[in-house]
Amino acid sequence: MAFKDNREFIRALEKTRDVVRVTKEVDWDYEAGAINRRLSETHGPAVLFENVKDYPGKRLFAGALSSWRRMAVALGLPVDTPVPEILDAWDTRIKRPIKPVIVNKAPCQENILTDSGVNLFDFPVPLIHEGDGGRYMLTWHIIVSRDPDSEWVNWGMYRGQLVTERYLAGLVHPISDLGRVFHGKYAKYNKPMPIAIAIGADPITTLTGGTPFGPIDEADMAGALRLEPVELVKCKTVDLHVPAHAEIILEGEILPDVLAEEGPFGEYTGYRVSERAPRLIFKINTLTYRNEPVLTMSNMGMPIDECDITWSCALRGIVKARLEEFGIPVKQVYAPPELAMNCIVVSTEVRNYGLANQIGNIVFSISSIALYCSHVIVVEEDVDIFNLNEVFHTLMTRCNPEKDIITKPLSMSSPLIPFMDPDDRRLGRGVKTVFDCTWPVKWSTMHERPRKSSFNMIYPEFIQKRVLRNWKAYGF
Amino acid sequence: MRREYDTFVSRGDEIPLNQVIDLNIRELTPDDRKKKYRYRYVRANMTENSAEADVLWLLSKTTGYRYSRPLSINILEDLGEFKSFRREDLEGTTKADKTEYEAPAAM
Repeated sequence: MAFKDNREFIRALEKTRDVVRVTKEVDWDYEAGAINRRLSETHGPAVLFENVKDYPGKRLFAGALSSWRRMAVALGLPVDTPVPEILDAWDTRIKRPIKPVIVNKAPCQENILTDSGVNLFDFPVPLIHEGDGGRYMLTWHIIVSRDPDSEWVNWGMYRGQLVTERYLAGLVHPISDLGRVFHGKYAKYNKPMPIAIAIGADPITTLTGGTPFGPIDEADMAGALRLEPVELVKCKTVDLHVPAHAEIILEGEILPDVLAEEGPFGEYTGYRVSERAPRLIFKINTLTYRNEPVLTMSNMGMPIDECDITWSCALRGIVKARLEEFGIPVKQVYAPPELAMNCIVVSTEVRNYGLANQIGNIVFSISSIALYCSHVIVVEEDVDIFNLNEVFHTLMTRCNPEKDIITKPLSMSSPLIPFMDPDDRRLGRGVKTVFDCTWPVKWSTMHERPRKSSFNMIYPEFIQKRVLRNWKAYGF
Repeated sequence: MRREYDTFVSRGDEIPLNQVIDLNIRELTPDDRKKKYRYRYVRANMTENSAEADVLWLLSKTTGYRYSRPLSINILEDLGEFKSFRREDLEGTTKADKTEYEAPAAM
């Protein structure tokens, strides 16, 4: 059974000891963010702040999917499911989209405020990091919009900060799904774009907003991952549907002709990079919410947080499918969450020269991945790419720095990549790198390829079996 | 009580002193604490920091680091909820580069 809402998910996390309810008063100004950040960096539990300063009766939930354990629970898998099995479940499920169902009455509309009654400062919106451009209400949410020329309904996750009572400003990259439709089909004709923002839906429904599925209805993909349809309800003032069991719904529009200052913000890369600049304005006309609402926060920064885990799930399937399309004998693909979406590791059988470069070209041809990911590491089949220590050992020992590091300048890039020159960041001009950690094809196994000196590779099988069989008997 | 505000700058000397200018500031000491960090767009005169006047802290636009020495601010007029920028006014400037504000030609 999928979780109907975040409240059910929190109760499930309590059973596995993966959430802590904090009843001591916590300040929304820095303190809640600092606690959440420390939990991310220490692989701690999720946290439900039940006593937020200035906001009695309103709660704040953070770190929903900042660990593989919580991702497993969210997917309905055993809490200690190994990472490759979580990824396999993800890839299997997304092949079978499930359409949402429409309901007429929804918890997210228990309270309704319109126009001058809307005051976003009535929620415990955190000042997440010191020096942030504002209080970020939108860090773990869905922005719902429609392509006016088709029936495509897009769910996206774009950061958004409070400006005044009814206005937010947000970073929406123009090549994102929302950015392309807004700039090409609304702003171009000076038309406001209707949107609805759902905060605090169940974790799987929410994560689909932050997943690069492409131009398909993310609601169907949420159903696929949940193995059950998402319940949607029609908004009160815009012609869009939102998850019925979300906590808070903001209905409004993106203004076509004006911008407001937004940022800076501590981002998913682990750094604060993008400068404060005029960005899109979300004007909120109607606000609906559940009784005793639970706002959500994702404190992005040094890994691991929700963003890292979500993208690690999403990238693997997209990249693996594209490599297989091109006939690459790929064994495994992994985007280690510890590397903040900036690196994809591919293990493959090597049959020909130039394979690593070809793999890099294919990976970087996928726009949604090229935007965020700067590095591809290609290794041979013997490397366990889910073991980051082994990956780094391979990188340091098999990648010849003179011949095997392939750089691709003048590539597209996110403005959030920390190592880029500030001017390049503004232009979205980046560089990609392929680290070829495969042995040269011409090296023979018998004489030239270095033999891996590991337990699995340098002892005969019968000795390995004997050692393993007698391990306890040796006294270990 | 001295009121406190902040604003974001690219350089520490970006705000001209003893001159009336329009700028976006954030409330740090509002009457209602729930509105801390709310934007305000004001006409104001800034001077070197003095003990009596309201305070304007400066933060880096990129890193968010706060400069150690604040300025004094004398707010003369509220100009609106927040400073807005017309998209067309930004074209051709550094911040209006095609990547951040314009969709690529190919949709």
